[in-house]
Amino acid sequence: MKPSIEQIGSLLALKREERPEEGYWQDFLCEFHHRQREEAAKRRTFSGIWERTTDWFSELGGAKWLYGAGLAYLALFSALVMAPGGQDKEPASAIPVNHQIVPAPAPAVEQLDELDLGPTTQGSAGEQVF
Amino acid sequence: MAFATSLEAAEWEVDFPALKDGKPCHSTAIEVEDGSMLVSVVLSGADASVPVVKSGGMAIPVQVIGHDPVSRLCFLKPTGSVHKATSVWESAAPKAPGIELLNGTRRARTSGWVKQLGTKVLPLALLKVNFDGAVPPPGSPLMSTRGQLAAVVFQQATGGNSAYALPVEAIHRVRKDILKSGDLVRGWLGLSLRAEIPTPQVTRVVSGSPADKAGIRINDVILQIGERVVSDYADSANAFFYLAPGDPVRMRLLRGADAMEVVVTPVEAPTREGAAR
Repeated sequence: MKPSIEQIGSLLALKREERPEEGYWQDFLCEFHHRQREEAAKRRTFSGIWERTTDWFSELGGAKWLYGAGLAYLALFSALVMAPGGQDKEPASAIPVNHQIVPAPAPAVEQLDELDLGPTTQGSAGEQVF
Repeated sequence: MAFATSLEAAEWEVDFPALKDGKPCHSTAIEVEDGSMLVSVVLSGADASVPVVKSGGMAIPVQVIGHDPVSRLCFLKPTGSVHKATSVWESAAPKAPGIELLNGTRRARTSGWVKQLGTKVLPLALLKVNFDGAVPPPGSPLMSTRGQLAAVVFQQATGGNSAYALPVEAIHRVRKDILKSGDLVRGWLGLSLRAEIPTPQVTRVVSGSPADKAGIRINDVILQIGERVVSDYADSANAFFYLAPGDPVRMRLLRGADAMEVVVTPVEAPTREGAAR
């Protein structure tokens, strides 16, 4: 059964007089701020980033393949440059080493003037004139 | 026949008395080639001027002709009537090791040349020999298998039956001067070497000396002196021992990267500065 015009008028008059409970608007504002913080936290996570990225790519259309190839090349180049090389491939330092070779002192050698094979025999060391 | 002569020569016994704070030396003497003299070895600490010589147990009066303090060879001349024996001497001792030499019934074998003992360079290289028994006294002859004198025993080596021997060319060299002047007169070139430098490199040349006149310069490396190839300081000292004043000698040198030859005539040393007369 359809309500009559009078019934609808009475209903509107009742609604016109309705008011929210006390503290409703305060709770609404708290609930709004809470949801706003949750949304911000979600954006900082990997899934959020990934979600935004995929959204961004999907909005690019045909250019997304060009951007994708460029990013892939950049990633590969970065991997090659930053990868640790083998020890045998370490390039030699071009800076000369400041190292001076100090010759070991020559052992003392004596020249006997006369044949004397005794262990205590002394000779003359240093320069000899012949 | 020559071998029998060597046995006869080994009968000469010589006792050199001790010097003050020294010790006596009991040696053997051998006759020189023409039998006119005896040659013996007097070790350090013994007096070479008053030897007591015996032959067959009998004292024989001798005159000291000369004594070389470098090689310690002593030449004696018997003054009485004695039997003269002749012998044949080799021109040089065997160069290669392992050569058999004889001293009477004893057998010996060369084991190489000794030019340096520890840090002491000898004034001339000695032949090292190993005996099959006891080492005979200094001055004992070592004959080649063909019966010619090749070396004489100088001194027993430490331990074992080894000994150092004077090569016969050293006796030839000393005898030449002893007969002339009674003393060894060594040839002098006027160049200096340093014993502690491994290579025989000239470190100084005396101005106006035979080496200077021949064109030898500082830093020249000596490769050969006469027939003797030189590889180090000790080789040079040995080769210089055989230089005689007035006898020209060919020297091969290395100057930079170039090998060159010079002929230099030694003179008698002006003084005993660093070198034996």
